[in-house]
Amino acid sequence: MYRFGVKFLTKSKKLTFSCLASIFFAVLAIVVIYNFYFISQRSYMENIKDTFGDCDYLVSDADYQDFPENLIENIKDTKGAKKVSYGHWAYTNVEDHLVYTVGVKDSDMNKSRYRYVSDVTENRIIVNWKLAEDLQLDVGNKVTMEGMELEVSEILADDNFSLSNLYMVIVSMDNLCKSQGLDIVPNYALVKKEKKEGLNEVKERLQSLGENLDITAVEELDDYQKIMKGFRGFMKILVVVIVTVAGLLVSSVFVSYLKKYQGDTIVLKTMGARKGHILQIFFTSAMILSTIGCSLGYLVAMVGGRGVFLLFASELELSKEVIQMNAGNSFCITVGIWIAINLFLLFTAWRYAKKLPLQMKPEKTKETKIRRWILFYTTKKDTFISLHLLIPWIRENIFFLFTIAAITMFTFVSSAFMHDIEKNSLSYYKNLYLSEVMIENDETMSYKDITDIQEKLESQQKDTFFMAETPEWGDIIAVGIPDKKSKNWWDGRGFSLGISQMDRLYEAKVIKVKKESYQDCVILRRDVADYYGLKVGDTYTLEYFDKMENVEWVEEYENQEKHTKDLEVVGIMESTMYSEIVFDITSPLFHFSTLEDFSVTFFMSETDKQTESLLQSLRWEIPTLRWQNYSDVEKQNSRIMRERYFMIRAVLYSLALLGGIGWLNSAKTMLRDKREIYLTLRRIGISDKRVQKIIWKQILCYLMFGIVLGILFGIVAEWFLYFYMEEEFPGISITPVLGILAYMLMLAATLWRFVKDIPDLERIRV
Amino acid sequence: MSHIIEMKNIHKIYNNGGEPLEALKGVSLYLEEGEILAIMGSSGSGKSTLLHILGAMDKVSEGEIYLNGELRTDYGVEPSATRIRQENIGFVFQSFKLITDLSVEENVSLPLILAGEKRGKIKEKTRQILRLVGIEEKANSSVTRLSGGQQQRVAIARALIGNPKLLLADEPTGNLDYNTAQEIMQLFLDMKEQRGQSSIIVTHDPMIASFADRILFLHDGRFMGEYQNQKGENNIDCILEKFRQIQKKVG
Repeated sequence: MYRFGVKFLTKSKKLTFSCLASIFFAVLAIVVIYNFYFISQRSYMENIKDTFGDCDYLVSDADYQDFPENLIENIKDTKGAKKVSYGHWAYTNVEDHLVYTVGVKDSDMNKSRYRYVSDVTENRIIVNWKLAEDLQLDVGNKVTMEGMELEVSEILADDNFSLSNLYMVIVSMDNLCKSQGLDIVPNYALVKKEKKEGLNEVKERLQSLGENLDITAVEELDDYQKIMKGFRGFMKILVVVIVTVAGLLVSSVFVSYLKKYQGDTIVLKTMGARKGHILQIFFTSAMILSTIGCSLGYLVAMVGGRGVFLLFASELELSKEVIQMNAGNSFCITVGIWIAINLFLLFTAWRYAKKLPLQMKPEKTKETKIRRWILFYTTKKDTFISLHLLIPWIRENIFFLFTIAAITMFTFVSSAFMHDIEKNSLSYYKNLYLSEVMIENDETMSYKDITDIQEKLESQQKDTFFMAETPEWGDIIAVGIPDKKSKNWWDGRGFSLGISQMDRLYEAKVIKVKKESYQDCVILRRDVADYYGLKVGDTYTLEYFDKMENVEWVEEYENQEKHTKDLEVVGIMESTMYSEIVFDITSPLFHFSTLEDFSVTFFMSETDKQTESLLQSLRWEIPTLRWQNYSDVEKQNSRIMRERYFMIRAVLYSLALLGGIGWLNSAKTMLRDKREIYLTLRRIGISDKRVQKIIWKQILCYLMFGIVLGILFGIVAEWFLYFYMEEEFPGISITPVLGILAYMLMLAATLWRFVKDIPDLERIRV
Repeated sequence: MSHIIEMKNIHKIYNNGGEPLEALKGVSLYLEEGEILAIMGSSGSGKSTLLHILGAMDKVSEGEIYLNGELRTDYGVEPSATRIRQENIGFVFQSFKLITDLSVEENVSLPLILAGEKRGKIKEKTRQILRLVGIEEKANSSVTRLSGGQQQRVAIARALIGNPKLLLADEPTGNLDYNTAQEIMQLFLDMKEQRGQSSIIVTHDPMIASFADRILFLHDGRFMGEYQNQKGENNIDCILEKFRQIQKKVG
């Protein structure tokens, strides 16, 4: 029986090739995507390393103090610490600009962290592009840092400091400490751990070296986690797309293969073949097809994958250094696919092997009669003939049509979905950026300092406003609304309270309610508003206590005198980065003068040269001041989305390419199978042109069936996604599917000659 | 003479889209060893259903089937039906039903391969049977390159190679011209003479039926008459006459 399996394969060259191609492509796509996932992850780690250096931990003093003697030695001796680099950072005066200055002891880790390449010797200085631009500096120029004259040896082209409008220079640690009149001691260290060591274990050991040490593990950074989460979600979508479409494609081609031999298996059964015999034949075929297809897919992925990744490294944002294919894991995946394919093929073959020989088929069922009746009375006669001939074929080739439908659906959904992800991703920033420019300070400030800076900024940009929040709750505490007290998770710990200038927020269109005075108004954060079921215009009842300095949490509230105040909700803030309740600065509820620790963010609609220079000069007072434009963030975000969308489209279009060829073959087979019927139509007097028209109607219906089905699935999937995500339905856009439609029409057009020849009686006779 | 197969009061009811359809309404028949039996009937008379049941490809709704004198309640019921087909029955179809991707020799040897015969024996028996049906020289040809008559010879060889007790033929000459049809029917007679082969031939053609020893006339799921062929008579005319009489009887 086995050799019949082989013989069937060699005799059905086209089908065998289609099966091999689909298995090959499925393996290729899955293995490539798997490797892409890990390469991207590693690339991202590399990018993180570009920011934080090729290190696993950043060690510094929580109060920015110098390291005690022997700390560096102790870090070096810590079990699991492979490499240690160190240096000293401080703010210095460089040509009358306050500059973040890193004094380094040259090392690979320091170089990767600060992205410089040349050695920093005695009289050299490296400057970032922002400073170089503002001071018109070039390599070889002299600059003065704290009275020391140094020569610019390198300009950093892509440092993160410049992106946040921060000046930065790199000098030797000795020079920096000398210029500051300090002992030459480090105040930061970069640590790389042994690969086999656990991240937390080494972190704990480092922490044990000093209670006040601040140890940051790069992999634990929120930014890293957030982006990796998004990235993993995206990869999951991609894998679902590939596995679904590739699976359908393999299934459809193999089902065609089984169908081709269905008649023969019936004959074999009639001659006494058992299910086992039939399975042996198809199992042999499946084994050969899957083994060859999987091996080829694996080999091409391994050999070609790296080349493709290197070729598109910049488009896909991959670090060339980390592009390595994981042969072992890829092999395991290939074996997994091989097993899955064989199981599927065997299961499908088993269903066919079950069929009994030469059974009498029941005549027309009610369903068929109804279908025929509907078609007969609702379509023109030619269309009736076309559809009537087509429908059984559609049923038999449903897997092919599902493949086309799946590709269409994913194209349809992915376009809307990526658009939505981009929108969501941007809306995160949009909610954060209350205006075009956001100016932040990592340190807390007093209310007085805030108003001073506000005044200065306002002198340059009239629409400047700020949002300040305080974790202090000594003077006032909100405890929520009494009737919801039992469920109130804010009870007892107070809200994070914020203040802002609401009239400016109105001008910046952050809030929509115009008031003469906002004294009795409040802005709630989205989660708070939803919790209380409040919307703009509703009244929020604030409960508060006077002077709570000695009160310890909720039990002690009960004994305090409570006040209430009704406030009108004038706005709801979407970003969770801001306070839960925001008052206007004119609110008498606050005694601002007593509050010291405000985290503040300033906003303005644009920055010009004067504003920039003002901000730079403010750095003398607040060295940690940094600012960024929303449009830059938007650009960065769009770039990432474009890369991801490019990948999804590349995968989908590749699948569409293959699926289309499968469709074309199945359409050809359909026409061949029905040739006798077309000839009969000719024989009974229907003209050549009219038969061709009937055939074209059939082809177009066969083509559109998958696409329309895909669009319908897409609409349902989109509706489900948006319903599930509780968002608005985005509307339907057919544009992304037009590419697939055009390609399918092009494939259909290649049948022109074929269609022309089919009803040609003369030709058939010859 | 012992009966190869005997059917008693066979009923077959199909469920046709929810409506029961009785295709056979109490059919009884027997086939003696070395006998050729023809079953004649018009379209829709139940010929194919009877053939499916005889071929153990379908089970009866009611009735008894004896194979080699033994009552077989598992006739047409899988998995026994597969064994019955493999060991006792050979099939010849109107459209030959050859596997086009295989050569003549491979097609013919299939039943032996399915029965697990040794390779040497398969080769030897295949050559013998091909010689018997007169197409030995075509052994390695593709079946698609053969004429209709040759293809039917391959089909007959395939049906006979396993030495089945019963050869079932469904309109075996339906796709052939007159002369080739005569040749094929002569082959059936030769097999009967040389091997004592018992056959049931389903047909609507009196010429084909004239080669049989006995003819049963089937109408609307019932046997309406029987005709015993006599040597030396113009059997075709007699058969036609008998057929007309039956037609008249049933209106």
